Amino acid sequence: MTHPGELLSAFLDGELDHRERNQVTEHLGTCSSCADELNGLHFARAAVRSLPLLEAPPGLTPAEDQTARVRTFTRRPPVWVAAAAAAILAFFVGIATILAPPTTLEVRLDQLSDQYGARTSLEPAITPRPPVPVLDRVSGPIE
Amino acid sequence: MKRSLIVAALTITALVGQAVPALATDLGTYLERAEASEYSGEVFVVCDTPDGTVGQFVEVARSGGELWVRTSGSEAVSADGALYQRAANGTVEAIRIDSSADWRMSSKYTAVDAGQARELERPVQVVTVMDGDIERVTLHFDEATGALLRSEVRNEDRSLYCSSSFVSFSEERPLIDTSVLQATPEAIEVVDFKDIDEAALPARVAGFNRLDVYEGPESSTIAYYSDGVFSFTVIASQRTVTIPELEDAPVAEIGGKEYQRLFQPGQVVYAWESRVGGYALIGDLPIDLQEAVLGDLPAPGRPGFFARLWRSWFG
Amino acid sequence: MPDVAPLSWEEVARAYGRKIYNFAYRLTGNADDASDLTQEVLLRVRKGLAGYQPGSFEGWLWRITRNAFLDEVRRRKRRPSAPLPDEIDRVSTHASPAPDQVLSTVRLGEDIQAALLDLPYDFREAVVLCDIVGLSYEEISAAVAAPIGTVRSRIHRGRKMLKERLQ
Repeated sequence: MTHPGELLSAFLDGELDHRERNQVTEHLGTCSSCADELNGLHFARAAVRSLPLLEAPPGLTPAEDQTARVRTFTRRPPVWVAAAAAAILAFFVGIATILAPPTTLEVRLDQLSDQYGARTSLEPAITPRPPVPVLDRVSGPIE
Repeated sequence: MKRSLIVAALTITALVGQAVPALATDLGTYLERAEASEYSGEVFVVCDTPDGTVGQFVEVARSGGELWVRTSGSEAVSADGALYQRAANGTVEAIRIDSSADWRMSSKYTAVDAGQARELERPVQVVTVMDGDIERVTLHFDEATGALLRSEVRNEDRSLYCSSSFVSFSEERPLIDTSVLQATPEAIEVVDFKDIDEAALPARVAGFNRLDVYEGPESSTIAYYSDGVFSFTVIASQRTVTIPELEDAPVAEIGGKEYQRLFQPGQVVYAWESRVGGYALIGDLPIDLQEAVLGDLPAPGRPGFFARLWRSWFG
Repeated sequence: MPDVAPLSWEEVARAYGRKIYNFAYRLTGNADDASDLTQEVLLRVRKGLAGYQPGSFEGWLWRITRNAFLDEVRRRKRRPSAPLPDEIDRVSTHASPAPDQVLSTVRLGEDIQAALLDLPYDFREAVVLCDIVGLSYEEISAAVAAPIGTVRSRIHRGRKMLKERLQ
């Protein structure tokens, strides 16, 4: 087999089948650079595994009983009633503007460009554009 | 002697009289090789638009499946479907699209081998993507590395819309600064189709298929459309959509209606208000396809009575 | 009508809470963040248990955990971006060892954690799920919604980068 490359990690983790395992073992017997690489991988894996399993801080799991929410009733009608009443008024009178002006959805150009760019990076690049969109896209028209 | 001249003359006439059949080619193979190529260089992207010519120089490098781009102090890296941006002030933003529809080229396109050429003194293979009898896209692939050295897109009237070409190129394997990849990307997940308002975001728009749909900010919906060569993303919202950078751009009139529009090298952005809500669109379409797509989406107009009422209650 | 989950939420929290906390801690290097993120994950798990479908319970659990983690990170970043604190701090963690320290091959936990934080996020996540949480490649593949080949590649490249930084 040619150098196993990524298969060495799989070998280390016991993720290879019987046949692949034998092939890698055989290769390792003759290839000192792969044997070195395996040692390096083993070292890295052992380092991460040597990290202690930390105790979670106390009280991390939420309290078991959720106290029932206490409802309070006040004389003042809730906000939604007032708004609906105003809306019905507007419907008949035809004045939608007495209500709060509509809000807008503001989208920054770079946010839109990033989402588009991230999606197109999943497809082969065919059309002319910077291969990845970058912020601060410079120029306006060239005079 | 005379007989052979006549035969020769007849043969030449036969060749000139018929169109030589174009060699269809598997574009996918070229593109795969281009994805795996390793290089660094500088690219110039330029577009001729109704609002003037826009251009940009970018430094690029590609190696080991990662693509790095830098322009005027900010840089971006694309790796494993995630996009990482570092602004000039050092802040990093990253986004990743989780799961997406597979790439497929619409059957209206045919890719043909169009012979050899030279680009930056390097031999290239030219491939043309035909849309009917329009040469929509012309691609120059470097023979040595497979890298895409030049790409040109034409409008329906055969005028050149945009081109992207290397002004310097090196096939030495570049070192890409991967420090920006440490940021945790914001994951954008595809949402279920069943909640999509088909009137607002139809499954098919001017020959483009709606591929992925995402939940956008403030209950808006974002959809990605593609025909395998060109693509665009649309945001549809019950609210008015505003893009601050479009405020000062010249207004575009298309199909008798007005849109806000901004051309950038390699992409165009539109924003408009329709009877069913606000829209923004960003894509790499040539001009005639932009008009076709806009024509197939809800047109600019004052929001209808119920849209306005919705806004005043929930806006 | 979904099947009943094999464990109650309290049992899940008791059995997996610590591992979830370690998952979050090793990915962020920050104890406060890890606590907050664990709380959020456990809340999600609690809600999700009602809709649990039979299959690999741990696979389901780690898929929810990983998505909840990313969602929570995303939610917290929806403020004007400031440089991530761990990016600034990390510059100072790699002072080269003094000559007389080179002899020692023992590495402190902090060095290993710092090296982990230097990995690109995808590699770090794969290595943590493999070597700290202890999932198989197939379970990791299900949790991160990527093919096994990609998982193997990320683990391999992550370990190679760790080795470079630690040796």
